[in-house]
Amino acid sequence: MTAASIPLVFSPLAFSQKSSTNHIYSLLVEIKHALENFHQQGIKQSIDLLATPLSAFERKRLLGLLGKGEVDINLTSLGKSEIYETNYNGIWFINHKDEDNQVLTQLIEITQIPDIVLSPIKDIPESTKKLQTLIENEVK
Amino acid sequence: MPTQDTQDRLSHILKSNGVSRRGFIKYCSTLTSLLALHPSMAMKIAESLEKVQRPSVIWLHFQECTGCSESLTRSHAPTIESLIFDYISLDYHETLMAAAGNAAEKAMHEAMEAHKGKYLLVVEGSIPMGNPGYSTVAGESNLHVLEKVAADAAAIISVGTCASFGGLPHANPNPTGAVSVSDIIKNKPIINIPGCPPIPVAITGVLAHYLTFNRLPKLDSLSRPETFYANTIHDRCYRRTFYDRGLFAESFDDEGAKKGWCLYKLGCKGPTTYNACATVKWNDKTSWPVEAGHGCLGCSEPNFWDAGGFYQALSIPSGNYKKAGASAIAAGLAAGVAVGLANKHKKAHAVKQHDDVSVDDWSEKS
Repeated sequence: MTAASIPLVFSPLAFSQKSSTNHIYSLLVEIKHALENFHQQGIKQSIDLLATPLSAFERKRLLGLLGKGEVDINLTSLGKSEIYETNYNGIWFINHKDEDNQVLTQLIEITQIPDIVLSPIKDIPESTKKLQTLIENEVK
Repeated sequence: MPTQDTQDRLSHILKSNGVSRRGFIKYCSTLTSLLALHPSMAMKIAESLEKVQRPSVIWLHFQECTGCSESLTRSHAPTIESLIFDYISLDYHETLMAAAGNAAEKAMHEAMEAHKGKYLLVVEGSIPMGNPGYSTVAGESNLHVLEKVAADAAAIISVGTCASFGGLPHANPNPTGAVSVSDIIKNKPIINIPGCPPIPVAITGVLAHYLTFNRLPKLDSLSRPETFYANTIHDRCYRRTFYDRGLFAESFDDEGAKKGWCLYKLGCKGPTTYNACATVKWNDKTSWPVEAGHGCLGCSEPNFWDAGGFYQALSIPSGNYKKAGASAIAAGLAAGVAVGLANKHKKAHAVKQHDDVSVDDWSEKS
C-alpha cells in the first residue's frame, strides 16, 4: 500500500449532546444571579462569552435558548456590531465584529440598555454645530 | 484648532481616521475584555486613553527568528492589535522601518535622547554571552546594545520566549550561551511576554495597559502579565471535560481524535503551560493548536525545547525515567499531571547534574 492509496476522510468535529462540555447550565445560573442583582441593587454585569470555555455548538445553543426579543440594534463603527435584547428583559447580547466581519468580542450584558447604544453626551455640542450649519445651508 | 498636544492623543488620531466615539468605546470594550478587566473599566479606559500621548517605542532584535514581530503584524483587517500598534511611535524596528544603515541608527539615538527616561524598550530574541560576536548589529554586540538602550528606558518588554527565557537558542547544548533579558538587566521593570510566538494581543494588551494606567500590569512569578498567563491551557481548555471523564485520543486519526477528545496522551503540555491560547485563540480567533487537533507544545514556558518530546505524554518520562514512568501511569493520569510537573523540574536538574533519579525520589505533589 502506498501513501497515495490511503483514503483521506474529512469529517467535521462532532459536538453532539454526548460531546457537550455542560457549561451552558452554569452560565445560565450565572446570568440569572446577575439579573437578580441588577434588579435589586442596580449593578450592571457583563459576561464575555469568548472568555468562557464553550464550544461553538454550545455558544450557538446558549444564544438559541436566550432567543431574540423586541429590540434589535445595528451599530456600524469599526465594522458591524449586532446588539439585541433577548427574550428575557434586561439580558442583552452584543456581537462586535471588525471590518472583515471577524468577531472581536461577544458579550451578554445585564442592564436596561447597553452603554454603547446611548448617544455620547460629549458629542452633543458638535452635533448642535453641525445641525446649525445644515439649517443655514438649507435656508440659503 | 487642535494643538500638537491634542493631535498626538489617541482619541484625536482615531477621530482623524473616521472612528466615532461609539467606535472608540467599542475599541475600549474589546480592550477591556482582552485585558480581563471588569467591563465597568471600559469607560475609564476610554477616558484615560483620550488623554494619553503617543509613546516612543524602541524595538530591538537579537538572536531571534522575527516570528514575534510577524505574529504582531500579520492581521487581515484593522484590529485592536493593529490600532494599538499603529498608535505607538515605533521609532526603531529593524524589520519594519524604512531607514537602513546609519540613518536607522541615528533614528534610534534621536529617540533615546528626545524621550530619555520615557521610552519603552521592546526586546525580541535572546542575547549570546558565549561570545558577544555571535550576534551583532552595526558592529555592536547584542549585549552592548541592550545595556546602552536599557539604561534610559522607562520599562522593558521582553517579547517572545527567546527574550523572556532564552528560547530556542538557549536549548541544549546552548552553543551561543544564550540568556534572557532579565538575566542581564537587573535595575529596570521588565515584563515577559513569552510564546513562540506570543499571541499578538498579549503584546498589544500590555502596551495598552501601560498607556492607560502608566504602569505594567500585575505579573506572575515569571514576570508574565497575569491577564494572559494566570491560567494554564488545561484550566481553560474546552476539551477539559473529556480529560475529566478519561476520554483520550490515542492517535491522531482514531475515533477519539475525530470526536475531539483530550490530547493528553498525544503529548499535550497544556497542564503545565500558562498562556491564553484557549480563550484568545489565534488568527483573529479562528482556532488554536488543540482545536486544530494538535496538543499544546508549551511554548510559553522556560526550557520547553528541553522538556521531553512534543508527542510524549507528561506522565511518561523520557530517557532514564522509563521504568519509573510505568509506575506513574499506573497511579493514574490525574497524578500524572503533578508527576509531569515534578518530572519536568527533576529531569532538568538531573540532566544538568548528571544524577540518577529513582522512583522513590519522585514526589506526588507538584
